[in-house]
Amino acid sequence: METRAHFHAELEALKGRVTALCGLVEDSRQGAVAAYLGRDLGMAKQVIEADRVINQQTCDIDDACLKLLALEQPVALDLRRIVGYARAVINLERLADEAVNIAEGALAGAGLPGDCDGTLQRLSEHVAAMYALAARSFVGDDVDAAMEVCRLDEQARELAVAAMRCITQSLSQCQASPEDGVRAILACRSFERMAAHAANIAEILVFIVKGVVLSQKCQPR
Amino acid sequence: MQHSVKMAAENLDFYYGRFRALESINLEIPERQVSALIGPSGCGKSTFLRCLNRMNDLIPGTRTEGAVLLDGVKVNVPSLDVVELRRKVGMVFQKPNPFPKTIFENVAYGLRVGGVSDRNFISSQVEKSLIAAGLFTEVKDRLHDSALGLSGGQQQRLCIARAVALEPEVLLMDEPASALDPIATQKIEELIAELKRNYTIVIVTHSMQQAARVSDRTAFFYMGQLVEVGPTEGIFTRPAKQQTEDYVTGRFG
Repeated sequence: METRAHFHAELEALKGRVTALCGLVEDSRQGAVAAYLGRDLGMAKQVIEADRVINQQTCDIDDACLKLLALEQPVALDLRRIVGYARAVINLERLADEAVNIAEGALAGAGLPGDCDGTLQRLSEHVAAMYALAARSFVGDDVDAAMEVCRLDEQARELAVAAMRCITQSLSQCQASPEDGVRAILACRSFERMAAHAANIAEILVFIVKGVVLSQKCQPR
Repeated sequence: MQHSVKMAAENLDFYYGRFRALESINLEIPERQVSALIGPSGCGKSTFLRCLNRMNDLIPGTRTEGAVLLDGVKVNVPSLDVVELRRKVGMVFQKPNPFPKTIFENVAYGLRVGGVSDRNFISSQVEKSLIAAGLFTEVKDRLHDSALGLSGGQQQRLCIARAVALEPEVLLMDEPASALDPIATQKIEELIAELKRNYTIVIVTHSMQQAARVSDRTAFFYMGQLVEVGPTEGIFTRPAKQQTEDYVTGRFG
């Protein structure tokens, strides 16, 4: 017999709110890519505007986690789930902040130096795949998907390094203005941070489901 | 830090008549640690606790198989002096049960029954025990008043003092705070943390939060079987068995 049905219903509702936040953050991530690589300034403004909603949702979920911890005194899987949600929303909120940074770069008139479009495009697609997998793992408690995200993080770093190398080469060969070069490097950095946050979300999912804390290189700490 | 084993059950079965209430229990009780026994009503946790000092011997038609060990010596054998066992393995019950005597005499009672007559020794032992039970400052000016005038929480700490006066090695506590208000409960829990410096404690509790707060190790019993035992932190954050997970999270009860 289920003895804490009311509490578990609240926990399900909380999961629904985290899932909804995942969706909002995905919208921002996609918008940032369209704004920067597609030169869509209207989209850039939308991403910046949407961040207020994401911040508010983050605070609300954090409050809900605190309330459940204080009033329900959860243990085991329930405890890990609530602590995991509180940690995950921080990463979601920061991921959305990186989308805002990229959108602001687009609004500032960032151009892509030389022929670095391709490298930045590959990096953004890799981040998109990582985030989609991380969100899917989180919604479906899918540890295998989460471990795959964790493994993809190293590749994201390599792609970011390749993109930054391309940009600095363009700068040294005077194929790009210093302003464009700096903004492009900052965009690379933001995409790399997005990948790291996606990996963190995946690690949190493993903690929730398995109770294992992963360190870098996807190994149990 | 590694704690040596103070008590242990080895393949312990316990029967109420034909009903097998405990099935092949293997459990070690580490010295100077608090071990909590949790599980739903009727799971066998109190029965197990009472096997440790043979309180079940008082119930007709019961029998044990397997072994209960104290410092490696089997105690569930007819030749063992059960009074001596209970001196070493004291017990505090769910409901405070002071004798209708003075506070002083309640604590001194076990010593007197045990043949101690030295007044100075008894006085110092009573004071020491009341201090250990965190009660001395509250009652020092009315030691010769009736113990029945104390509050429920004070009465329970008096019962702990009474048990401690005999300088046991192990203290068994059967839901010691279930009849108390939250403040009295907190005092008992604080006291348990103090007492474990000198005593090995085994506590049965229905409050999982209490088990989490006071114990070093937790054992989960279900339908007469020991499902899982381990460090309390592990049981309440990442239990190894699904049955334990379901119980502590309230998915069955």
